Amino acid sequence: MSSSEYYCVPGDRLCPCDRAIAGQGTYEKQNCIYASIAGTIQLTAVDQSSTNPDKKPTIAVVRQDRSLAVPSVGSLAYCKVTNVTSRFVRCLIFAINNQPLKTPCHGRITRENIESFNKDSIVCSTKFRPDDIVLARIISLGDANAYLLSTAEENLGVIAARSMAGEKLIPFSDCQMTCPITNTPEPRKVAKIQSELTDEVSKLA
Amino acid sequence: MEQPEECFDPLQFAVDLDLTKSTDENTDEKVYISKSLIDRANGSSYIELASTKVTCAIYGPRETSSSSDESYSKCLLETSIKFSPFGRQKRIDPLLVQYDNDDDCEEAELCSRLEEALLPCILLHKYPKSQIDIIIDVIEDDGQHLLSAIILSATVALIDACIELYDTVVAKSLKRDQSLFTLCYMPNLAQVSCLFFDGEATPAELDVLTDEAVKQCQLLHKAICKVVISDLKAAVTSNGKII
Repeated sequence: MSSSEYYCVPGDRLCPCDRAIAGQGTYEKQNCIYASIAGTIQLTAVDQSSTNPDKKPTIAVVRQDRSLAVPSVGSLAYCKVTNVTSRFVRCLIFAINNQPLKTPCHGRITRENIESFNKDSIVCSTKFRPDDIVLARIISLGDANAYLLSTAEENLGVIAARSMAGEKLIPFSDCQMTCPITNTPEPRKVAKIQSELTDEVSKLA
Repeated sequence: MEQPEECFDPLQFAVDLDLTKSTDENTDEKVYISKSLIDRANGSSYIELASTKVTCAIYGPRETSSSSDESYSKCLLETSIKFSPFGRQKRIDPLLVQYDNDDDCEEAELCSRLEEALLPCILLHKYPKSQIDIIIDVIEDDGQHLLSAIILSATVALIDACIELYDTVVAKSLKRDQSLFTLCYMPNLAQVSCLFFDGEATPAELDVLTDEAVKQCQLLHKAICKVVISDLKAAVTSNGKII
């Protein structure tokens, strides 16, 4: 991936359509690719084994100092649980894909989307509690009130929570977390920590 | 009531105001553009055009409270313009409620003109179920450049907020014997986004005004590009990232 010293403003014509594919921060109009944000132009080198039949490079415009966090289908959302009912869990999304949002959005995890197995026999209060920090994925734009989220993957779920005693809970297994002071187990849908991060987490505990 | 300890004659503070403006308004018009002033907003800008001073803050795209069908497929644009009480020669009462059927509802009219000028240039379909709030504060208005300063400040703030645009909308106001002509132009696509005219003119005069406005819009566009790119370069070098 090579980026250049070339800066552009929205509306600058970058190249004709047959030379490259329009990437992030660009749009196509009348057989030409134009920039849609202000930033530096980045050309992604073409992959030899890619499935793209034309083998064209991707041209994108990237803004180095800041970027806009927009909730879109398929992106990871960091949220804080506000309500737990018998049918769904309501939460407040405060970051998308590692970028904080300036104003939080509302999200909802329905009972069927919490786990990928045993979907009908789940009790929501054994999976999430209010004030838990949860990593979820946006699966749909939902309705006017909330985005629809899902934690039905191994690495999604509760990443930080407080126990009844007020201490930070330590993950024990994929369905349990323990309080370090009182040693009581509490049921949660725990997110699996990736192997690269287990060393760092064990240093914290 | 007791009198104050020291008394001054008010006339000694009077400033010599030269209220006769030169008729040749098109020479020596200075432009000042600045961005990223308001931390809490996604994007912000401050524009000075001759003596009109306008500041703009953009909040969004954020969750919309509207539940209409339209809000599901694309972004909604909400604009709000407020005049400072000291913005004009005559004081504007900030608490005065203006009703929609009143002739004097200038803030609402400017809002609808701003929306008309900006709607063609934002990629609304990329932000479904969201709304963009544009909040404009008019600090000083010299009578001629208000609409163009508002549109320019909104464009610069949109660029600052990383919102995707089809093109930068540049607006220029020209005044000819009591008629005010404002043109909103997109230089890279060579399209006119909209045109506002208050007054009387023949079609030939309008053609001349359009040509001159387009030329001046291209100069303003160069000024905006220069400010945006130099800010980007400064941000990159201060972050220490090597390209």
